[in-house]
Parts: sequence; C-alpha cells; structure tokens
Amino acid sequence: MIIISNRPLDVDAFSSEFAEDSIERAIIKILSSSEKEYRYDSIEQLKFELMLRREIVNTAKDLYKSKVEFRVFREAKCNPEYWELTKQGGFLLKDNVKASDAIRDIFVNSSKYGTECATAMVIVYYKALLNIFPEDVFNVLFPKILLMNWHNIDKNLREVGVTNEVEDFLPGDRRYFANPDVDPLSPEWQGENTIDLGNGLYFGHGIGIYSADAIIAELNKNRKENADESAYLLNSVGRPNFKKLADIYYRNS
Amino acid sequence: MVLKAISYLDRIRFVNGSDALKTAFRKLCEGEMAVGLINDKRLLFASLFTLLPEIEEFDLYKHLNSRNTIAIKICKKILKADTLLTESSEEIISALKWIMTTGANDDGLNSEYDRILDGTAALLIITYNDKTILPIIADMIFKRNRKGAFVHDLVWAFFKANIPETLRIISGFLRSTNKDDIDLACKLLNIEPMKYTAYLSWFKENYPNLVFTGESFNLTSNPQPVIVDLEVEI
Repeated sequence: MIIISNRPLDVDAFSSEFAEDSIERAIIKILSSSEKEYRYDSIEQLKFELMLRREIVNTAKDLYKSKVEFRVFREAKCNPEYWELTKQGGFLLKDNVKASDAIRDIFVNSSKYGTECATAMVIVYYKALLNIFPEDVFNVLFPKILLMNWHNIDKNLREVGVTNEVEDFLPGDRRYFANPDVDPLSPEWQGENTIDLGNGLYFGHGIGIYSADAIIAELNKNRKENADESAYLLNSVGRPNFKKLADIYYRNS
Repeated sequence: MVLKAISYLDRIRFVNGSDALKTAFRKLCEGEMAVGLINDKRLLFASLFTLLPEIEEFDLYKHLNSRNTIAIKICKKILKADTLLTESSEEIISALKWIMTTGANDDGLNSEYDRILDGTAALLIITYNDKTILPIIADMIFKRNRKGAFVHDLVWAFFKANIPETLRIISGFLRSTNKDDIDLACKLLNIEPMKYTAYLSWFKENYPNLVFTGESFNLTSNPQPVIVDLEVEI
C-alpha cells in the first residue's frame, strides 16, 4: 500500500500518468500490492523515487551496452584526463575536473575504462543522478568522487553501500549474488553485484543481463574443486536514500 | 637480518638490488654454480621469483629441487597459466608456506609478485585449510594499508579461515600506535574505536556464539565478519 501524507494513494489515477509498460508502473504495482505500507511525505517524493529508479535501470542498460571492460582492481583502467587511478585500483576525480564531465566520460570514452562489478554499480548511481539533477547542482553535490566498490562513497550516496532485508524487491534495487565456494584463485567471482532491471532480469558488470538462475549458473562455473554449495541470491538490497535525495532535488530545482 | 645467515643470491639482491642479482645469476649460469645456489635451502622466495626469466632462459627447471619446482608451478597457476599441481598435499603446502613465510617481507615487489602472495594466502587458507599463516597475512594487510596498497583480496582470504582466531589477531592492531592500523582494525572488526582490552573482554564473552557471515568488501562498505548467535549450541 502507498500512503502519501497519511492518506492512501489513488493508485489507478497515479499510474495513468505513466506509460503502460514503463518501469514506473511496474514499481507502483509492487508497492501498491504489498502488505507493507510505503509512506511518502508528498507525491513529489514518490515521483522522485520512481524517476531515480527508472534512471538507475536505464543507466545499468547503458553500461551494459558500453565498452567498459570487466577488470580486477589490480588491472583497473580509467581515462587519465578525468581520473587518477589509485594504488588500490579506484578512480579518483582529478582536481579542476567537473564531476559531471568525468562521470559522463565513462559512457562516452567507455573503452578507456575497466573495473569490477561493485565499482560499476557506483558508476551507475552517479550517472543516474547526473541524468536527473541539474548539472551545476550535481557538481556542487559531488565535488570529490572516488569510484572504488563501496569505499569512501559520498555522504549523499552512502546508503547504497549497505544492504538490508526488505519486504519487496523493486526495479533499481542493488542485489547481490554470493558465491561461497568460489575458486580461491578467482576472488573476483566471490559474488556479483547487480541492478534489478525488473521482469526477473539483472545486470551484473562482467556477466551481462540475465535471469537470476543464469547468473547463479555463471558463478557456479567459477567454484573451487569439489564445491558443494551453490551460488545464491541474497535476500537483501542496497538502496540510495531516495527521500534525502528527493529533498535535495526539490530544494535545488 | 644477519647477512651471514642468508643465502648468497639473497645477499646480492639485498645489497645490490634485483638487477644485480639477475646479472650475477646469468654469469653463474655460464659455470656450474647456479643450480646449487638457487637450490640453497635458505633461499627466499623473492629471489626465486626475480630469477624466473633466467631459470626459463637457461633451462634450469629440470635441475631444481622439489621446493623450487613446486613453487614455480604455483606461481604459474596463480598467474593463470594452465598448470596442474600433481604433487602431494604435503609437498604443495610446504612450498606454499615457504612462499608466504619467506616472501612476505618483499610484498610490494611488483604487481605479479603481490598477486602470487594473495593467491598463496587463498590457497593455504581455503584449499589446504592451513591457519598457521594467519598472523603473517594480517601483518601484510596492515603494512599494505599503511602504504595505501590493495588489500581486499588478502582480507577476503584471511576471513575465509572462518575461525575466531582471525578476530583476535586483528584486534591486536587496536594496540598499534599507528592511526591507520587502528582505523583498519576497527573497520575489519566492524566496531567503533575501542580499547584492545574492551574488545578482548567482548571476544571472550561471546567466543562460543560467534558465527561467521562471509560478508566482504565486495558486498558492502562495512562488512560484518561475525554475528553473535545466542542459539548456537555450545
């Protein structure tokens, strides 16, 4: 059920604002049919979450279509015009470079980039926000960026680095496939960070866009000898703080 | 380190550097001394690693002792060449432990060398269930962290040991005078800064009920290595 300012939402009327096969409608359907009460302070707050989730899904698909390679941290690469490659394999925004230009470059000059699945997720979040926020606001919000899995994430995005169990899984959620019996010489296959694209599909950088079963099968190919435990999808999600970001968005737009 | 106690080849590397070692070894290969010196039981892994191209070039492989032969196979396996380890577990573990115990001091030599140490740690802990090298791995993790180098794979291998001893070893770094050590120890233990004695009290009290979660930096910003499960049968 969706509650706006302590009143139930007229779901049919609200849904009609979005195209029939849209991501937004799919999300509204899950939220409204859930036993959990999803409370929003305003309809704008809900609209922002739908908009950001849509952009997360679309950006994940854009990253899939790009030429950004899968590379382990030791072999990570980035465009030195915008980013400094750290000793740990992270990408540090260079001084005097606009965050918006640097994030956009990952998709423009994508063949100059290579990283692991977790960093790819963080890239998706930044680009999705860049698609929504006015560029100058984005640059004020994120003057310093380090792209390296869930480390040193900006305070406005910190929540994506934490996973929690939830009642409902939604398009735009970060989901994690764990591989407990991974080959010890392939720690990069210890698990796959993915974005839930809806319709039972997930994007994982280095694997692609597949169903949960297909991703599990791929991870299982990279287990140690005599492995007896299959990879599996964790029952938890990582989500940005949509309400905090909505407040920032409406204050600055 | 007392130079007299170390091997001839290691001494050249320590005093004159890796390039000098390679040059000296090439000269030795023209005579009959090279094989004996590379098979010296005191040799450190970093010197063997440094001389891998020369061993290949002078076709010395068939003259190497068992430790060196297996160590080279391990290197090839870790660096993704298709290499099978067909020796006995005891021989492999012995070579792995030699790589780790004599190689850790030269961590940071180059990217391939560090990969080999990371892979060796993972093989010992996960494949061969050897926990004796955990203190060495912990030292490497904290030394790398002080230099800002890559630690995630080592941390992952370390906690794959899945024993409370890992927490006790890491908690020892809460006593460090180095702030980076204390910060990393708190991060790895997923605790707010606290005194070592306070953590040890908590550890002793909860020891029987600690359950390892398998969380890593690949999943979350703040992996929680263990939870306390009061329903665990003691």
